[in-house]
Amino acid sequence: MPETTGTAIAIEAKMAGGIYALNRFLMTLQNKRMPVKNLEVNMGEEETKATIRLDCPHETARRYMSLLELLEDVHEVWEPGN
Amino acid sequence: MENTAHKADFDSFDNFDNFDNHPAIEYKPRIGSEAMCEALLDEGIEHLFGYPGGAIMPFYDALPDYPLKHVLTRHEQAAAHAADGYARATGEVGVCIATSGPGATNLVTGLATAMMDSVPMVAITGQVGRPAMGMDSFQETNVMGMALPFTKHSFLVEDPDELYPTIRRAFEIARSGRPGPVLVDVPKDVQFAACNDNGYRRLKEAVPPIASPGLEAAALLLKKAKKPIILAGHGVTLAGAELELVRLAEKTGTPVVTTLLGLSAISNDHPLYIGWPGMHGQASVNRAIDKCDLLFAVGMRFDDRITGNASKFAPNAKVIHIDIDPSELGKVVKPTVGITADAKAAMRGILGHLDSVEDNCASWREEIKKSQESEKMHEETARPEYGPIRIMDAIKEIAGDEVRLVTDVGQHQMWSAQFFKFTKKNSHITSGGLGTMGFALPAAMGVALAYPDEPVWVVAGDGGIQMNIQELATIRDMGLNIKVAILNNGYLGMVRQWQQFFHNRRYSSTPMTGPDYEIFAAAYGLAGKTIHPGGDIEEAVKWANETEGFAIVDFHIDSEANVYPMIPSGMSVSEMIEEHA
Repeated sequence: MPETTGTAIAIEAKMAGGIYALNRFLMTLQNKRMPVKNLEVNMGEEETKATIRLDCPHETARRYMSLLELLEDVHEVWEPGN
Repeated sequence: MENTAHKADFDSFDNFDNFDNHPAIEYKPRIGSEAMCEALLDEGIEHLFGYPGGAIMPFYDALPDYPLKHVLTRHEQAAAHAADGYARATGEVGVCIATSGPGATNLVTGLATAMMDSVPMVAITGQVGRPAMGMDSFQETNVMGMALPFTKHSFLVEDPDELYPTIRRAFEIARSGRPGPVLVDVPKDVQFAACNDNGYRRLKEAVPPIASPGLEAAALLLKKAKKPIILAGHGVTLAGAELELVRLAEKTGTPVVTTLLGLSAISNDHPLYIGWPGMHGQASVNRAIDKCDLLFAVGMRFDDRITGNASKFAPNAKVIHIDIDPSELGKVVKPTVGITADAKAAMRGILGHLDSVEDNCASWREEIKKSQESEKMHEETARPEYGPIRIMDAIKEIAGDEVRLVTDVGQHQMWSAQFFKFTKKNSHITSGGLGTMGFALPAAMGVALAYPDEPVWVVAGDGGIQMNIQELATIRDMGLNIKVAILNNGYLGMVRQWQQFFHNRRYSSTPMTGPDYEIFAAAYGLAGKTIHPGGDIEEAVKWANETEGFAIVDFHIDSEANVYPMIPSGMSVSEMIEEHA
C-alpha cells in the first residue's frame, strides 16, 4: 500500500455513463490499490461523476490521476479547487 | 469478399459502363460477423489464432469468405500466446479468437501476459445471445468484467451497428500510447444481426506531450554525469528506438544495460553494452548501478526483479525516467527528471540538446571493465563444459545471426538472458512481467508465422514445455519452422533453486517427470532427439537446424545446476548470492 498521510486529497472524475465505465473505473481503483478513503458516485445514462478521496501524498495522487485519465471512457479528472 | 455476380459483369466493356444500374446485382444486408471480418481486414490483419465454439460460430461461418488466415490452436491459451508472439516479433497487433465461457476464460493468462509486457493484442470472444445474458446460461461468463484487470480496455458490443467501429477502435487502443491487450466480447445474436456500416470514428485521442524542459534537463544531467548508466527497457523496442539508444550512448560515452525485455535493443557486441542487471543479472552490472551517479531509464518500469529493495536501488544516482505511461513516473523510483513520452521521440529530443558533449566517463567505463574481468574469466572457464552456456553458444553459432530466441520461464530463461549473444534487433522474446510458464512454444508459432524464412528457436524447461505441448499438432499442421531446446533437469528448476537457498533443500513437489520427447514428437509425426550428459551438444543443434520444419532436442542437464548470481527477492545488491560465495 502507498504511504498514507492522514489527509485525504479529493479527486473528481467524469466518465461515460452506464455500469461498464463505472465498473472499469472501480476496478482500476482496486487494481492499483489506490488508498480510497471515501467514494461518491452519481451514475447517469450519459455521464457518470465520481468523487474520490485518496489518503496519500499529493504527488502520488497526481500519478493516480494520470492513470485514471488514461482510461478509455474517462472524460476528465481534476482536483476540485485547482 | 469475392462477389462472383460482380465479376461476370466485368467481362465486357459495355456491361462495365452500365455497372451501376445493372439489375443482376443483388446486395444482401451485411451481418455482424461480416462486419467483424471487414474490420479485421481493414486493420491489415493477415493471421488470426483461435479456437471455435458455440457462441463464436457466426464469426467462424463468415471467416472463410475473407482472406484472413486462421490458425487453429489446440487450446485458447496458446492462441493468445501465439498472437502475443506475433505482435512482439512484428510490432503489429496480434489477434486471437475464442468462444464464450471456458474459451474466453482460457484466454485470461494470455491477456495478462500481454498486459504486463505492454504487447498490442486484440482478443475477440463470442458471448451467449443477448436474451440469455445474465441467466447463468450454458457457457456464459462475464468476460468483459473478468478481463478488466488484464486488459487496457474491454468492450461488450450489444449494438450490431457498433461492431465495426468498436473493433477498429480496439486496434487503435491496443497500439496507441503504451500498448496492451483489448478484449471485444460479442454476443452470438449480435454476430447474426444485420448491421449498417457506421464507419470508423476515433473516440478519444491521447497523444502524450513531450515536455521540452524535461528533455533539456535530461541532456544537461547527461553532460555533467561522471558515472552514468543507460537502463533500456521494452519501451525502446516497442518504439523502434534502437538507433536512438545507440546514438545517445555513443554521443555521451554512457554504458548501457537493459532489462530482460530490453535485451536485443542493443547488440551485445556493442562496446558500450555491459550486460543485464537485476535478480539474476551480472554482479558487475548490479554494482555499476549501485555506484552510478546518473541512471537514464528509458521505456522501463522499475520492475521489482530489477530493483530488489527499491529504497536501496541506485542510491547515489540522479534518475531520468522516460516512459510513455505517465503513471509509471514515480511509481517505484522517484525521478529527478520525469518525461512522459515515446522512447524514440524523447531520445531524439535529448540528442537535439547534445551538440557538444565532453567524454567525462572514460575512467568510469574502465572501472566497469575491470569489475567484469573476473566474471568473464569465470564464464570462459565454464564455456566448454556440458551445460547451458554451451547450448546457448551452439544455437547462436549454428542457427546464425538471424535467429530469434523465444524463451519460457525459469532457470533456462535466465541462462538464455545471461549467455545468449543477442546481436539482432528484437530477437529475444519472453514473458517478463507475468512470467508465464508455457508461453514459449505457442509464442514461437506466432513468431514463425511472421518470419517463416528465419530461424526460430525455443528454449524451455521440462516444466514449461509440458504446459502447452499440445501445440505440436498446430505446428505440424502449419509446417512451422521451429526448433526446440529443452533444458531438462527433472525439476521445476527455479523453484527447486529457491527451495535449496531458502527452504533448506526441502524439494517439495518440484521433482518432475515428463515424456520421452523423442517418442512424443514422433507421435505427432515430428522429429526429436535426446542428448544425455556428455553428449554432443553441437551435433544435436546442427541436426535440429538442418531438419526441415520442426525439431525438438531434449538436453538432460545437471539436475541441481543453479542460476548465479542471485539477489534474493526484496533485497539489495549487497545481499547478492554469488557462485562459490
